[in-house]
Amino acid sequence: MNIAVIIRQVPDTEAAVKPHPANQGAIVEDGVKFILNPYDEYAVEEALRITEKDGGEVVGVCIGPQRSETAIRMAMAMGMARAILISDAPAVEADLVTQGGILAAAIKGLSARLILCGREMIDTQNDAAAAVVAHRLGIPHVLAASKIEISGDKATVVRDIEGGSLEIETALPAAISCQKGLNEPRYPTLIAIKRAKNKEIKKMTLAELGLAAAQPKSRVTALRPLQARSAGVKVAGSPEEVAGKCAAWLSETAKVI
Amino acid sequence: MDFTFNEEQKMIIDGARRYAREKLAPVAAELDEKAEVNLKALKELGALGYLGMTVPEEYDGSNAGAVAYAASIIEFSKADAGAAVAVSVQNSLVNDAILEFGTEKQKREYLPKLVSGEWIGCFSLTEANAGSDPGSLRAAAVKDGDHFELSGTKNFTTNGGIADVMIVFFQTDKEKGARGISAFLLKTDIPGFKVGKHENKMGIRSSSTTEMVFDKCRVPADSLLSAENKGLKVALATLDGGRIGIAAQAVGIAEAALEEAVRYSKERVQFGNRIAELEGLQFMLADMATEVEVARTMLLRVAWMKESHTQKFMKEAAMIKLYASEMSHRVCHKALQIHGGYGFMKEYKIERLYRDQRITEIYEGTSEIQRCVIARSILGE
Amino acid sequence: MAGVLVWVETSEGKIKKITREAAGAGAKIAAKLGVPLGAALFNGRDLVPGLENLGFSKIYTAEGAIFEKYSSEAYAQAFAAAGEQFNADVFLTGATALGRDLSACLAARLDAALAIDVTEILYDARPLKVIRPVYSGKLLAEVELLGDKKVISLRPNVFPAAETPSAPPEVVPLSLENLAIRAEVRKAIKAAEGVMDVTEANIVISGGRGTGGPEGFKVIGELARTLGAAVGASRVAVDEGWIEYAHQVGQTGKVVSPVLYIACGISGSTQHFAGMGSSKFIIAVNTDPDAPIMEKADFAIVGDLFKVVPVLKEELGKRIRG
Repeated sequence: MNIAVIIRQVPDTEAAVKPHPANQGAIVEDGVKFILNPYDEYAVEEALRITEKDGGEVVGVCIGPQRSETAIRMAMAMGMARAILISDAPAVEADLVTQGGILAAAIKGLSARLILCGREMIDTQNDAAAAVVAHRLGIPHVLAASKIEISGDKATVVRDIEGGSLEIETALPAAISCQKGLNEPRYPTLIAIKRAKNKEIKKMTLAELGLAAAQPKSRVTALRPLQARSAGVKVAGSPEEVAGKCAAWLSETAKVI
Repeated sequence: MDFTFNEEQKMIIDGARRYAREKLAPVAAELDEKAEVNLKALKELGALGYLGMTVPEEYDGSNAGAVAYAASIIEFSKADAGAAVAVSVQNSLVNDAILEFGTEKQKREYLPKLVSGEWIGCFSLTEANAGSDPGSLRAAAVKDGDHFELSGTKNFTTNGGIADVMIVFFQTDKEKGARGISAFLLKTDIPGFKVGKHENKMGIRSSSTTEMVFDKCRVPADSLLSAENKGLKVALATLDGGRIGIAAQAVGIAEAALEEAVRYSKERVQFGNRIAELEGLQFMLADMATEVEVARTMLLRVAWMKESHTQKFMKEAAMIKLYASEMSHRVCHKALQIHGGYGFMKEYKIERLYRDQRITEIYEGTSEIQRCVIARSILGE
Repeated sequence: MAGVLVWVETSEGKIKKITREAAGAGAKIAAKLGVPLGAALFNGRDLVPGLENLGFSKIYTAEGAIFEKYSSEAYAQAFAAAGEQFNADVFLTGATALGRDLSACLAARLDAALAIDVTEILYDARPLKVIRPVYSGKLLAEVELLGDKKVISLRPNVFPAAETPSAPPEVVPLSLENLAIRAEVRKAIKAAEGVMDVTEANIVISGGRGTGGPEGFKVIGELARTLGAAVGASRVAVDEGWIEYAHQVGQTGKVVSPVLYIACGISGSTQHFAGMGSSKFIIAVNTDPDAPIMEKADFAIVGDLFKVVPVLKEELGKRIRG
């Protein structure tokens, strides 16, 4: 079966991100390394495993600026066959619900029986893509899958919740977001890296998808660094001594106990 | 001039960095302690293509080029210099020698399996009494019809204990000295050969270094790599390329030491301030960073010279091997000094980097030999 | 007229704490806007008495086999139907696993503004603004919710669970037609007995590389039992196989906001902070006085967790017992 994988380029977790002084809601990109969203690797890997077993093609769909191409090439080096990149500003700047609609429009033409994405985008920390895309396509979804088993027209998915997990049976086609634990994403081989550069990235605009720029439903009006936690009390000494001080601090200063 | 990696190189180097961080680094200290080889990682690196970076695709190589290779060795070395040297030996001493001097039959027989990591290779030149001077080899190959009989003991062979394939040098014409040695390309499962003593080393303890013992080991004459008595050329030409790998290892160790020093100096508080705020320490860090950058830039240029096949790089390879290894010594020394007493303790990575660095000034030609090569070249001899 | 509607999240026949937190935030929004506050409660008619004095004027209920287990499709449809009847324009859920799921489905259905995992609400801003962590918790984004309908999921343990004295709410059963679900929960798998989820606990005690193995987690587990805390872990500890993934706190694990977070043998990487940086108080136990976490902890103990933690357990046990 054909599988569409929603991917996104994000700053490396190690990167020091700073709010952009002029562009509202943006970060300073100079010196920031961009990578394929780590959770998306689980989605790409799962798509590859399923198609390697049962046949079919893995196609990426990405909303993001031109630089997103490097993240797409990474997914291609893992084995993704081709990709669609939507880079026009109204799409890139759209709110997450609107972006879900755009992704759905791009996926519609792919005859995909399964749509996979990462559990969360680590830049915006949004985790709604699978749910929104599924609703727009009129298909079911499951979020945060740690296990996916396909059999015929159905998939059995395990998703984690607080204090346990749920086993969900869903009809296909479906959209599923992928969580750590689902698989161990492969490292691209050097040969695959070399081949990735010849794979097709089709650039599409909103107009080509038959969409018009929509009024934003939400927008980031400010971005600010988290107030850095400053060092508090530091103690050293015998276990009895430090434990006593800590217990006193907990009950008298923090008033937790 | 274009000093940027292309997209493909970036991905290959990113891949190496990631593999190093996720698979090599977490176990590096433990393997160092136990003096064990990360053979699983070597096999995986083979499957990924990092053991055939200069081999053309017709022999299943990944043909990524010497630049991506050197930059990848830097990344592996930052995590585990022992694993890095194993990768380096496979690429630049074994594969490159076979590519350059092997017959088509030898290439087809050996390269695909070396590239995939199914076979690990080693390069065995040194003997107890023949280190920098290959003319004084005692291990001898005696011709007997269409066979040679090999006898003698080689030592300090990197990858010796894990090798499936070896390139070994023997005296085939004692009269001719250095001009009378020959290279042989052999499997290690042949009768009459055994691995000797496993060395207990100061550094790069996660690499295997052994004696190679030959006792009337009979091999067919077509095991020769290049012609009879042409071994010196095989050794010298191969070591030129090998020096790029060792220089890269030295740069990687130095980069890691610099990172450790920067991190530690930002964390460590003395007299109420982070020690990074001390000007004396800042100057040390500035010098270290500058030296690392200089070495890195020249290293990649020499790798590019090799990759572009446009010019000889013997002198430059010697220069970067000399400079990078001694630079790495200085940087590790300062980085350990910045750590103070903690740097002397095994809990801190700098302790291992400091030990690992030392060999880069010695193997594949000591600093003194590099100076001889450079001097001979500039004096036009 | 508009309104604010809160999803009542239940688990094993009990109302989850996040519901009271969402009610507290919802009551404040409703008061500022001068609109009523309502609730949507599915498969929990008998829990209605537990929802008094939270400021709800109406509680919309849905019952039946289809609601016995969580279903994105049925719950979102019912939540939307309740919203329509209540004329709600602000919808609140917890940023729990299911709350996030429901809020996403609802926002798609209503084509609404969606804000996930909100840690602060700017009640006076018009249009309403919220604050939420982004970029691995390194930055905070102020988000303006422009859509007519706004769906917000709230990070647990962040908003106070305020009581709002109010008349008993009116219960309005929803009548829903054409409910068909295509993704169905077949089985709920519970974590081992007595294991508290890190996202739900007021106190989380986590172990990292310094625990050195499963034995280290025994020491941590004992302190956790004394304090009624959940056990967390760093990525290293999980990757090493010392403890299950469900316990992992951080970038690739869970995000927690407890009142107290005790980090034992954890150096405090950026990725780990992404998961626990919004804890109210942080205590660190580490042999390395210069570990990054020691500079961010409210109370840092330089010492070996194997020696310090058991004594701390005794000391705190004494204080708790009286």
